[in-house]
Amino acid sequence: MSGQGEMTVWEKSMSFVSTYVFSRDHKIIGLQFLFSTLLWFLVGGLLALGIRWQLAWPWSNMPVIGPMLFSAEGGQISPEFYTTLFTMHATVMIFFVIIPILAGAFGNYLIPLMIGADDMAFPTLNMLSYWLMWPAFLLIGASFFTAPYGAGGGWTSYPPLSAMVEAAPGSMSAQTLWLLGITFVGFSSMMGSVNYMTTIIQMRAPGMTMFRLPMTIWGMFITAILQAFALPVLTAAGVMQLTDRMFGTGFFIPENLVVNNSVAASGGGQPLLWQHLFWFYSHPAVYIMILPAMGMVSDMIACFARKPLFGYKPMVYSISGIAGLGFIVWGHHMFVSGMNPVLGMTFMVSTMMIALPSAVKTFNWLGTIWGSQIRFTTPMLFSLSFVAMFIIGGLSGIFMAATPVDIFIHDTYFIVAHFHYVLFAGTAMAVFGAIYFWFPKMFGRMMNETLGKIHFFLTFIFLNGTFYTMHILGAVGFPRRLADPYDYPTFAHLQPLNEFMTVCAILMVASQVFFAFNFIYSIFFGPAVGRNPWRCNGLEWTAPSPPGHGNFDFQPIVYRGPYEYGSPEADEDYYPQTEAPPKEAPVVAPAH
Amino acid sequence: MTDHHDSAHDEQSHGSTGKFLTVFVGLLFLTAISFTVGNNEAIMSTPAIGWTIMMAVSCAKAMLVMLFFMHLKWEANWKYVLTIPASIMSIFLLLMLFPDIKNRTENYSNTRWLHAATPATDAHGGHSPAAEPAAAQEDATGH
Amino acid sequence: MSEHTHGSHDHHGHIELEYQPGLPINNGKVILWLFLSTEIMFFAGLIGTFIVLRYGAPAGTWPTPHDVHLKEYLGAINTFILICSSVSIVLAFEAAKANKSSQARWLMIVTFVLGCFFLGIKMYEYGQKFEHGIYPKKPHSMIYEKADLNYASAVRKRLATIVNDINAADAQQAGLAQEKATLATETETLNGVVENSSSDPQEVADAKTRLREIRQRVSEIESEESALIAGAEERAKHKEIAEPLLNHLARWTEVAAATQTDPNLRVGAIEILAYQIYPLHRDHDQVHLFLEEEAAAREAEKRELTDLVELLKTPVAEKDDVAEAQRAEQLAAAEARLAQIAGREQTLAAVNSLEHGLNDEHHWLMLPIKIPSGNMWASTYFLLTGFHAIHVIVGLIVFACILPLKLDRSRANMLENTGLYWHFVDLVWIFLFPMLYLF
Ligand SMILES: [Cu+2]
Repeated sequence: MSGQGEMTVWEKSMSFVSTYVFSRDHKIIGLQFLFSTLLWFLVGGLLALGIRWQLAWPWSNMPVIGPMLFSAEGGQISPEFYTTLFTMHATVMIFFVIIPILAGAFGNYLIPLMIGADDMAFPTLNMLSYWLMWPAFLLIGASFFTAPYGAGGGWTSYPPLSAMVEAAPGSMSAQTLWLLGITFVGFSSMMGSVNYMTTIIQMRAPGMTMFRLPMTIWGMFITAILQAFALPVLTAAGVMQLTDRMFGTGFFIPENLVVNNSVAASGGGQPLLWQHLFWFYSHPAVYIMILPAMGMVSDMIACFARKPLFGYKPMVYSISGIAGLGFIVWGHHMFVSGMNPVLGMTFMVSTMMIALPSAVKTFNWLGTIWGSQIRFTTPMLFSLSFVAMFIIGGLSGIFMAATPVDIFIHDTYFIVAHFHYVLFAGTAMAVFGAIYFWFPKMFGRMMNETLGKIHFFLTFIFLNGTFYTMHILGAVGFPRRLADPYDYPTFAHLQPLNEFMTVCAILMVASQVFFAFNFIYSIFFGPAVGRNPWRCNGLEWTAPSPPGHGNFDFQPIVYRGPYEYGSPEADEDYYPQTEAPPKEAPVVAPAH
Repeated sequence: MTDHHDSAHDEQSHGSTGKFLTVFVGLLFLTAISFTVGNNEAIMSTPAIGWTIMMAVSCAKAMLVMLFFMHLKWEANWKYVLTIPASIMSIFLLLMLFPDIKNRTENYSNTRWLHAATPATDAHGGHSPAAEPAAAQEDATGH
Repeated sequence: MSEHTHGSHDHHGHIELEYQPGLPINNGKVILWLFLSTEIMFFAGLIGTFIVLRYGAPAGTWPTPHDVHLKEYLGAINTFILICSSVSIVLAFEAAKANKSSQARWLMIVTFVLGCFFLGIKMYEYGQKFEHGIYPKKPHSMIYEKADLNYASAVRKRLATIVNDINAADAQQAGLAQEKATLATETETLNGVVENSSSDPQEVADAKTRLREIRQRVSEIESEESALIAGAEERAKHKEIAEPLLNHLARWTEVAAATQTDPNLRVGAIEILAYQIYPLHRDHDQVHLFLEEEAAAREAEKRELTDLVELLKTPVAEKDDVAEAQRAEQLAAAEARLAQIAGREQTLAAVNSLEHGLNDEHHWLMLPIKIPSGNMWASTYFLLTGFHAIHVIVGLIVFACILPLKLDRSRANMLENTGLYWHFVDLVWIFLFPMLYLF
């Protein structure tokens, strides 16, 4: 506050804290989210390697880290710890990486910039939504290190295993801590989502009509709606499971259930109810985990294909359609749960219907690329791979949607293959692309293209080596979530395949060194860039790189949509959104 | 469309005190109906009728509160944007839970009690037939 | 004008941007309505849970309000209070809009007080539930779903604990008295040593130390004893009640349930036990049938046993030591059983003459109670009302924060948003009241 004159050390440190730590600036908050989630990405990846190690060489001693982690077992992973591993891998990746990196990092950074606002509608609330992630980080971290084993209920936390302290002897308070952590993530996301919606509805620059919004913003907007409507239900369910564990209610515990030779605390509840409430959130959550990525990919593809996005409005409608349908399909996770068979049929049909808007999007991306002169930059490579991988992940999803097929492949590696194709090969690759794409805006410097391409090709090859093989495993019924599936002689011959996957997975994680180095090096030493290094149309590219406090040094007024590329009329081959039409009369007068 | 720069209430005041008091009396009257129905043995002997009446009354009360106290009656069309999605979603969630209730009520039988195991930790386990805990779990969840 | 559209903003020297708002209301109202949407979904989840568990419960088991000590009129009063508070807050908003800040403040105070009344009544209701043991608890609540052996053994364990505790306290009291007596005699001897002038000085010093120790110990004993002595009378009374219950209600039931061949007697014994502890209106007729049946069976057994006793008491001509011993044993068993039956009859008569169930007559008993679907009732009741109460508390905190402010026209938006939230809390209660109290 006391701007002029010399500041005391206290004032200096306070201004540092309010600028970079408890900042209310959406860009700082976005970067805070970005750095936190990238760190968790590393953690989640290492957890995955633990799982892979066990599946490739079960019960063998882990080199180096084994003796450090499990000295009691002589460097082996115990079955209970394996359960903790896959629970934590999924939890970290879903709740601490993918959701917050899309909505938290990119949502925060891009929404005000792309709609022409100086900040979010409620900056303090925005700050809170980041700092509420910290209790969650600590709680889940504590849950992992709780003796003797961390939370082991799976990321789905199905009761009665998870609802009863007695059921999983290894995870007494760990599961409770886990639930509390998830509840905090829920509060954080909820605060973020209502704030994003208000900002997008109310704070668009003059002329920025809803149908001039870039697809990224549409993705973020629809995601915020999904979160606002779906998340409270998970919070409610999570609180109920917490009271089941802590206070002896029995919402999810059936009557007279006997666990470890003693009758369950109280009873009369329904385990199936948890599944309904959980998937009512968690199916929309898979769209929360991909719609913003789809939006960002649309922007990148249009920019590097130098062509208008093929079918902008159908894209918007299909995103909305996916979101709407996404709410009525959750039962496809419960085909074998004992739910009313009538519902199974309904959910099967509605799930199949989601393929339609998804296909619309895919064909529109292909239509955008069609006949264009593609600039194969690193972000474009990642975006193209997103489209290709999403097709694989989407098609394998249709297999699962069919009840009869799902009865066979339920809980096999086919499922694991499917969601890794959508979430890693899809979303995570799109996120890498988006980081390469918006990095110049965030830090005012370019990332190294050569390193970026090496990073892309290595990741692309090894991710397919790891995840494509899972389809083969799943097709023969290889079960997920078992510490040692080879205990069944049927699966013994699949171990070499698993060894191959593990080698690929290790190499895939290792390839990220190129990214990490490039990212950190470029923040400090990358070549400085101007406002619009990619020659894009979006409003964010008209702001300084990096944008100062308040984002814009002029009043942005929007005259056109975000995808007017490759115009033969213009000197440049693109029309930024702020460029007034050549004729005198503006298309839309600013609102005053 | 009304002036969007400020609270849109500054110029014209919609609800007079008298109007609010009328709504208040209406709400009390509706509450009285619910209370009477709920305590009326004749109506509650076929509970479905009583439940329906009470829920209808609650919906009417909710409408009164939303229209008058929450000023929705006098708001512009944005009210539909901000209220209808949540209403639809919440009702949809409730509806989708019903088939499973029906499934459970139809398949519910007291035999599940018989198959449920008794605790072996009980000090005088002599006359409690110790069933297989695993079987009991399966039975309890598998309906 | 339009700089108001984005709330409070620190003016750090960057240019003020203009926007094109999509909705003709201020951002605060937009985000509040969006927040209310999330709240609607949250309560939809909770209410959905209630519906699933309420209607998924075995037919006819869901407790009536009377079964769980729920007073409908308290719920109705709370509904009335919330409606009043809704009116007062909307009037406060109108007053603020008309720039009548003192009137607005008074109306807000009225709203605040009404909210406190609501919470007060809620707390009273919760207190009632807790008093009757109707709440979830780890590892097992006092509520049992049905009268089975688990239930009978839980009752027996609780009674045994009561009696054992009393016995332990009595024993402790006796032990303390004993110790005091020993110490008194020791004191006398030591006093002798000290007063005796010919004693060895070392010995006198030791005796004095020991005396100091004894005095210390005696004061300790006395402070411990005083509580025990004060409770002795009550303990005796409790024991007088609990012991027959343990022997003739709980143990009898367990034995009957394990040994009777007639299924009606087997089931009936536990049902009777449950009814004596916590009578449910719906069980009344059934339990009386069970009681009659048991009485008939008891009479028959009594007749049989009396005959047997008479037969055994008739002197036999030839003397055979083995047979004699057997007869004596049989006689003792028969007489013991007769005594048991007499005790059972006495206890049943005593308990039946009580106006309420045992738990209500003697709150200290805290015996397990049988309420079918009672766990689920308690779980959902505390879940729904608890989350509603949390929302009320949040509302009250908000009221407390805005009360010191000057509630003039400039604060009308704030009051409006607070009011919207409060009306939502009222809305939730409008649905909870019939569902929890009247269904
Ligand atoms: Cu799904």
